[in-house]
Amino acid sequence: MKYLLFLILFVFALPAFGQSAKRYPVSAVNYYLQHLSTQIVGRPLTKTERDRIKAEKGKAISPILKEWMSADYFVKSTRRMVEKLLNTSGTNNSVDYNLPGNLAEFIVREELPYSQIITADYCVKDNKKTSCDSGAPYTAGVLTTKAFLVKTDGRFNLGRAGTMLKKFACQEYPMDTSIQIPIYRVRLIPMFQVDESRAEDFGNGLACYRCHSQFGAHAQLFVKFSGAGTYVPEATGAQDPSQEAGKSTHGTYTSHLSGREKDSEASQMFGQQVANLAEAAKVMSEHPLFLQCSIRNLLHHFLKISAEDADHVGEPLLNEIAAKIKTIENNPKTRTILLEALTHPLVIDSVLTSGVKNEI
Amino acid sequence: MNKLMRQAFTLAGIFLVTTGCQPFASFDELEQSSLTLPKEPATKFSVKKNVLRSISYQAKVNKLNYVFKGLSSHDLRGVTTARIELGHYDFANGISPDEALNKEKSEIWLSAIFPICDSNKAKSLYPFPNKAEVLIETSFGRDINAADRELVAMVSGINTSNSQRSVLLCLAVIGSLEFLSL
Repeated sequence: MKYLLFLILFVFALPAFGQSAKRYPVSAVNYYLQHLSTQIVGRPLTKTERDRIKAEKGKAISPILKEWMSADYFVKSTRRMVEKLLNTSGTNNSVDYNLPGNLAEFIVREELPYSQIITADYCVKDNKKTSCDSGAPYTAGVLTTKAFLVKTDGRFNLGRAGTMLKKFACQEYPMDTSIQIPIYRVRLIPMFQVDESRAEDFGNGLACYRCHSQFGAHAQLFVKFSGAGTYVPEATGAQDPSQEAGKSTHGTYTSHLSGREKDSEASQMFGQQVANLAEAAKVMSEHPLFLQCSIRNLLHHFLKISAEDADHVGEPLLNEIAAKIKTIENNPKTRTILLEALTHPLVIDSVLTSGVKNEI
Repeated sequence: MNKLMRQAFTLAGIFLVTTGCQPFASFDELEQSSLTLPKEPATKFSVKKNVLRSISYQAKVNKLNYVFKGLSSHDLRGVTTARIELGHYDFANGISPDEALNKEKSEIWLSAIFPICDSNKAKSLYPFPNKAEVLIETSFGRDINAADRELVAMVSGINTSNSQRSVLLCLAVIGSLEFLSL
């Protein structure tokens, strides 16, 4: 009996001796923060920081990271993360590709929730709020900038739907049908109703319905946007018979839907009915996948790990970090997300065991 | 009450004590509680070992500004001229960030930083030999080690002026992989 009691007490006391109480040697803390300093604050460790690490060891990680996150370089570094995520920066004759970066920078500088990257009802120019450039009657952060719309344009709006899902929910089609409910087969245009096609017109010919029954709902949100990233109220979503498959009239793209609903922006995002892209972005931003994906994207950028390594950050770990973040802020700021991610013992361990010196 | 039941009550009591004596008020609360076991435990992720993680163009410029206590656009002219080769990007004009480090990129970097290392500012901030170790410590963000001392000794042994030695050490440090990668 007493052995059983010891066993129970030991099991419940484990967390006290577990990751939260992990003690890192000075060299390990130095290695970890040195790894991060260039990405977050754009310089090596200072003498003061090294002295602090010597004195406080692992306890120095969180306060030093917090200090760094008030630096201008951190704001700009987050901007670069978004620019590289969406392949948008600079300007050319017709499009201001700086708008997504401007918004990212503004959100971090003003300490606004990171979700505003896809939900903000404004764009930013010269550090001031302004209207976005697509002319849409609503705004969904970067998603309604010409920069995003032009960079991702393509037939059937597949590029726009796929990029939105990949970059902000870290998902690809086909995804779990419990998250994105497929569109009924009969509602789709014939080419996407079949499971396989001869691929004469479009795509790879495989798993047509499986992917496009989900693609279709997200692509529908872009049915009013032209290839030039302009909102076209009169867009019909109907196939232009004089053009290749996937192209509609007015420079817009063909809907996946076959009925009268093909010209409507109303659709479904993660099981919820939405009136347009702005509502869909809000649903996406409130779904757990968005926060998980944001953590993954921030780790990818600030740890400077490869996309492949970032893809392998496990869902249980992301869930654990996300749960902690949610206890702090329901709609978290970039700083909160990154701080909680970078101070999680398993994230620290992952970086330390990757080092040539293998500090732990 | 038989012995088995007493043991069961004892165990239940221990369970409540160790979990903070907070029985669940409802099924929903149990569902949301952190005490519910995750399906899979969180684990470390693997990060590729022995990979050269070269720093971005912006990080290069920022580190130079940090080491040399603020540089003018004139000081940085060599760096800004070669910004694309050094990893700057401009997606609007089809230029993606190329942060690869190789022999050609190293040569471009050394040419770009030469005017900075050769400037009066650099020489006055880090005169050789008095401030040689300070340059290394500031640039690398760590304490001096034996290899650093060996480098300083090697530069000392070169038959030239201290002013030129200052430039050589600067190029060796700022042009090193340690400066240009994580």
